[in-house]
Amino acid sequence: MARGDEQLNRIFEQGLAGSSAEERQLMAIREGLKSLKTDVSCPVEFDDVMRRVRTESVALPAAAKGGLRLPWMWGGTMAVAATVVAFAVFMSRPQTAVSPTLAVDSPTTAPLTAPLAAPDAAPETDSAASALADQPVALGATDLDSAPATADNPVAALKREVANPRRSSARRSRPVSRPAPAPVTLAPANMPMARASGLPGNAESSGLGGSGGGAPAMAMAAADQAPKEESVPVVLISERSGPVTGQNAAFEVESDDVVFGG
Amino acid sequence: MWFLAVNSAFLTTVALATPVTPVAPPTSTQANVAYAQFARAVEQSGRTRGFAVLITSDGRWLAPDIDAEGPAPVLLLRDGRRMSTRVLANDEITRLALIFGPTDGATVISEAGTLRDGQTVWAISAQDVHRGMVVGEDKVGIDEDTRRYLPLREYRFENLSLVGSMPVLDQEGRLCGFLSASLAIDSSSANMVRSGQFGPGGIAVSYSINPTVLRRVVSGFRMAEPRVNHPTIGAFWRNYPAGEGALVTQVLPESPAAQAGLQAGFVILSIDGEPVDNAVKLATMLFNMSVGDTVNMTVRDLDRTFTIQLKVGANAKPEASAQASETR
Repeated sequence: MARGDEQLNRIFEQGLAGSSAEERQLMAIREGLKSLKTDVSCPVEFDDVMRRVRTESVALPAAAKGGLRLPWMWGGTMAVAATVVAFAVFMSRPQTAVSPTLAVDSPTTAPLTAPLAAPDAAPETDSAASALADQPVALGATDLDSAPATADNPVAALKREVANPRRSSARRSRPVSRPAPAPVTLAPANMPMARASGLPGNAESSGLGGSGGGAPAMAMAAADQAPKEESVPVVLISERSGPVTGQNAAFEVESDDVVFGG
Repeated sequence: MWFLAVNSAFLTTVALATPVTPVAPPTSTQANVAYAQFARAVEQSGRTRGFAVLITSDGRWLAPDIDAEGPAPVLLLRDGRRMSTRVLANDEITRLALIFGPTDGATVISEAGTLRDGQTVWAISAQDVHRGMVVGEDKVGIDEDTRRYLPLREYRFENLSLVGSMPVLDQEGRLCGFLSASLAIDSSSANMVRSGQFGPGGIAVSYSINPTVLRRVVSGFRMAEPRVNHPTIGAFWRNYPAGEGALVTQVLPESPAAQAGLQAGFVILSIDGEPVDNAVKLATMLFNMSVGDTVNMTVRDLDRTFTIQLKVGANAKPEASAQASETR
């Protein structure tokens, strides 16, 4: 131990008042050391503070890690923005909110998934014609139950085809590549089998007669075989009960699946 | 800069995702006022089925035919009395009925003009007045039974407790139509809709005929002999898949189309020189015609393209004669 250190120890331990110039100098150093000792106690208190801060920071990490706050805000904002943008893009897809195919699995539509009757199985065109022709033209008719039974009504058969939302769903999701168009205009005319297809409205089966042999059935056969053009959504108003009590059900279908009348 | 751009996109997205119209809670007072002014309940077997609105001062009420079934639907008046009414006419295309009954001090209602996307509307139910919004432009509607084209208006209501076919009014109290059909959605989509854009209460997507059709019906019902004439040719058609045009699938006997020589299998290419792009276009064009109009319809049958002249009839009634002139 150096001599000065010994003197300092003696001064601190004995509290001697310096008399000599050297002791006065040492006393001055002592006083300085006392103040320094006060300062030395600060790190301890600082440690205590830090310990308390560290303890509290477990519960309040943001408060304890103020230095990292800004980057975290940026990161959080970016994450939220990316999520919201992705969600908005997802929700902005066509017909996402009220997709017609979402009604497919409804129990009320289950019977519609049954295989369609072959066109030959519904040749009663006359009844179909009378179904629409006999609709009360003069207003005032109130018998709403006069429509023929669905099983005997080719119009209803078409309707059943149209109202098959499961088919629409499949069509919507199929690949873009499509087969080549059927050679409608190159097909031979007067094709008896085609004429006898029994499609609704066939002039022959409806008793209307007329020329153009083969054209109707062939063209409609092409309608089933040729690729479909882009279809637009059509709101099909059904007589079934809708989700709102007392209102009919509405389904969105594709216009390719719809037979219009008028 | 990138941070500002991202934040702008974020704020824009948040703004767009926020429900558009804050819905004020309807009050029973509003319902009472609307009921007193515009509507009367239509009952069947003591149960409220829907509402009727007064369209003439002589006691002609307009109501959905589903609510006015039977020869004498019962009208519930303001003071609680129940009055039997009489069905004067039905329009099977729009499924609206005209019934005759006491005016009961109700306000004669007028028809709304055009409806804008986002316009606020009100639907009257037995309990409340529900605030809703017009969505988009006209929808292509088709009646499953008659296959008739109907331009529809779509509404969204932030309340799934809607009941019955309710009249829809604009903010001036004019009739927009009746909510007669609602979009069928399953539970999963309903949950998606609820969590997506339309608030915690979910929405009801409902349809009415558009104001143009409504005006046609109401003007017909206001005539001395109420009658609604919708243009018709007596044919069925669908998209022609191999190209543009509409493929005729059925022609009703003795209809204007049959008398003009139109047959199943023909492809309708144009009407009066205006191209028929698809089945929807033909339906729209026909719907906008007037009964008695004579049109030149260009059709194709195999390799022949020719024009037929067709007189538009009314409601599939064979009242028009037509001539066919073939131009190979």
